[in-house]
Amino acid sequence: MTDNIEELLREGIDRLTVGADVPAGLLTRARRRNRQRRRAIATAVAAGTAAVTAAAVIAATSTPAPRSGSLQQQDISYVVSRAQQALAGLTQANSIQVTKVTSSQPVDFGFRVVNMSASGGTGIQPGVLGDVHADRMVDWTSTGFRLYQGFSADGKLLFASSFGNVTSKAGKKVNEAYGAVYSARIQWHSPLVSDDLPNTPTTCQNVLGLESEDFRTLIAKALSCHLYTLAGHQEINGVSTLKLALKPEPGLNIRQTLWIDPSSYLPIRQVYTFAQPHAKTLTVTDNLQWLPRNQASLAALRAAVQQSAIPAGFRSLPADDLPLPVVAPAG
Amino acid sequence: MARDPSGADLEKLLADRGRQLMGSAIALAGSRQDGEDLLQAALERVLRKPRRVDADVEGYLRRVLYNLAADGWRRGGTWRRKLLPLLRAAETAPDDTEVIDLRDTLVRLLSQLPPRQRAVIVLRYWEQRTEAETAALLGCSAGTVKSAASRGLQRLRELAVSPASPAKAEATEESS
Repeated sequence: MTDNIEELLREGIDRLTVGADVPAGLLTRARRRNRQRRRAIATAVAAGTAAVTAAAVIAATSTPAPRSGSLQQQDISYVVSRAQQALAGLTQANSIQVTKVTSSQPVDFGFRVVNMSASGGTGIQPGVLGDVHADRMVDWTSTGFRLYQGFSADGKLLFASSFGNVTSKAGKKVNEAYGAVYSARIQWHSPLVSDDLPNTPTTCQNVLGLESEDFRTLIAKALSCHLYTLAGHQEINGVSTLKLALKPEPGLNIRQTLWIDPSSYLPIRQVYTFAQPHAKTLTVTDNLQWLPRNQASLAALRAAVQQSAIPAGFRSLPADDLPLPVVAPAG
Repeated sequence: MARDPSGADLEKLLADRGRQLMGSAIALAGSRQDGEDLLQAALERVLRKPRRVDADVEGYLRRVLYNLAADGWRRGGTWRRKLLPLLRAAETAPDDTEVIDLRDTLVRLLSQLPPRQRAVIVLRYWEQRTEAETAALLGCSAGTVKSAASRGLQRLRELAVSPASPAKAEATEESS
């Protein structure tokens, strides 16, 4: 009976597949599902990276009307105008931005893992890399490249997460996300097509809850929305800075303060405070450095990249799993 | 040379070679409905990473198709759900059922093989690919293809004579 099994199998499959036409609309469905997937990823990526700075979802922000005519308003207008000019003079081509992120409150710097093949919802994978807890984070932004490094309280590098354009072995520029959790010996490498990158337009309504690849643009946008009031001077690292506070708004659970260096009119610190119902208030501090793109700053960036090299032998996450660095309440 | 397949490229490919591609997908998946889903999943992958496509769009789509099937594609889903009713039917069927149409029985039993063995059997004995071609398409060695084909056929012979218990089949699924 089984002597001709190969022939019988062939005949059986022939019978199964006879008249097997491609159904109308199959390619259209594939395209539609691909678009849905890209939108889901973009949403998840935007949500994930927003959490790096924002740490919490901001329910709503409205644009307060400027208090026209007051001396205070004229002062803030001048500071904002100068800060906008200073930021406009910076580009990713001529500067490297370094942000050191800390928190005085119980906050963890960890990951949210998004499955990129998920066709619906956010695709967030609960529990994956859920035990990664850093005490502070350093965020490097350069042309087409971003590197997040998470450190323990004693300065040990716990994780590195990079996004950016890299040159493949074939010499092509490709977008990739890659990184590692060193203690767990886990690595990831997720190629991204350009459409996978978030493209959420920045408005005065969402500017506080977003983090774009170009942080400079984000702050410039926030300044243009008349969201701040001048709150005096404060010395930071020997510099008498101009302090700008977000105007309080009913129902807004976020407070933000910016400190501007009066010599350059660039922001050098921002602090976010999030009031959470039934939980401690979270405070996240970003200390900002705007380094001119020169040999010294490029050497510092290279050192950070080399420090974040991934040793051989790490276990790989599935290619469709994309870890996104986030800030979350500890515990 | 790598290039982007345009929508027109894929539409033309499906118009010209759709029947052959659909046939392969059905053979790999075990039914028309699952074959459609498998081909659609392969098209999605091609659309997702178009820059990986080389000049041979059909070749690339086929490699994606075979590897999706060999990787279990929807592991733990359709194949497992389909397996249990099949086995129950085999256990309760009259003695002469399998001899009425052994060809169809073998095709149904194909679904009980682990995904990679199933893909090797389809490529080797239905598409008549050589061991080397099959190995290249699945990204494994010719030796792996040879042993998978041998084990797959042997398993089909065993199942054709005496269908496995569900527990045994589950264990086989994980053992490839």
